[in-house]
Amino acid sequence: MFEKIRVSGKKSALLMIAVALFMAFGGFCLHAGPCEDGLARCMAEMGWTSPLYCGVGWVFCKKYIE
Amino acid sequence: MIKKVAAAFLMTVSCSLVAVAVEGRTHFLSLEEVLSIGNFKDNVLFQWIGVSVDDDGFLYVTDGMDYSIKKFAPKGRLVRKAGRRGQGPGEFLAPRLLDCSGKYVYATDQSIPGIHVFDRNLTYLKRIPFSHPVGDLKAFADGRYAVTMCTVGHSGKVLLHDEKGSILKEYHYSDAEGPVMSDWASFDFDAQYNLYVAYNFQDRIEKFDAAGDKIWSRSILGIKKVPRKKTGPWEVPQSLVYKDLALDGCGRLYVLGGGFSRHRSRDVYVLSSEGEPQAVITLPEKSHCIHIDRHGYLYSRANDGITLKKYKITGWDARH
Repeated sequence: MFEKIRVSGKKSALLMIAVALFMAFGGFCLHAGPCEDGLARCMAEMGWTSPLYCGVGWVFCKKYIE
Repeated sequence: MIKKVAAAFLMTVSCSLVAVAVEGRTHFLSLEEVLSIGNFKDNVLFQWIGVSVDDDGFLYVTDGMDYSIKKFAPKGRLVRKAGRRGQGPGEFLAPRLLDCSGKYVYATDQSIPGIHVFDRNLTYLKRIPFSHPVGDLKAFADGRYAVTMCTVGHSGKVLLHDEKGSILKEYHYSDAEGPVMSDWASFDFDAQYNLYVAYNFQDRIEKFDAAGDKIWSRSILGIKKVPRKKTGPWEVPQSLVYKDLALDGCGRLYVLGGGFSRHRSRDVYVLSSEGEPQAVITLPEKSHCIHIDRHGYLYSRANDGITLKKYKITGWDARH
């Protein structure tokens, strides 16, 4: 019982995060979008050492949320 | 009588059994839901990404938020799960693509180069290393597998490997130099090893024969150029033209449209093996991918990845 509640809480939290992300970034707006933000952030954080993996992540993001 | 007809019509609409008219369409196709796996209460799927079905009807998926791959019985019961967060053998950081052959289940990880190989009971076997991220993946019943590599420069080729990992053939589907990601594509093979390619950022769908020679090329959305925007060092496309493609057992090609489609990420363009438009199916919800099993059932996403739906495609004439 306790385990089930705990797992449900995990899923609820994930859902809330997902909803928040979509509310923040999913709508039509002039902002570049979460995937572009993620790509720019990935590039900056990885010091341009793995741009391909940043690009692959960006494509996945576009496929999943667009 | 009129009430019955109206009720039937409303039921059809409410069940999202929608076929949309397009130029060249010759069939009215609709979707009939036959299976749904995962919902907001059961914690079975959190964010499924890749899907495949073996010859016995078992389903395999990668679950990005659960760092795992999962196996479901044909009626949807979860029978096995493998993987956890990590970089060790059989562990995942960001599980993505998945396909299964006669003996193996192949899965990629966005953050770990190469392909994880499991047996069909999801026992981890090995990792096949690759120098670049895998863009798309196709496994064959005989153990052969094919991949595309994501590269910054020219990347328009599909590499066909034997079961041991040796390259059997390179299919060069594009030799044109273009901006970054312009050659990134989804692909599939038919039973005769003809190659079908749908470009992610171009309005191009192409077929090549087993020797690698182009048979036909189609542009079905009329998009001349995909707008780009500078992000970091790259001018990246603003949207995907085609997200995924799949083949059914009759050689028909199903291509999932992206941001330029009338119904974004929901329109599936159906082409004959000769590249002629047959129909458009509109999915009830947006999806990042589609899969067609050997019996012609279509699989797509619902509830933002918490649910996997299986549909029967109806409306083909008996002669097709």
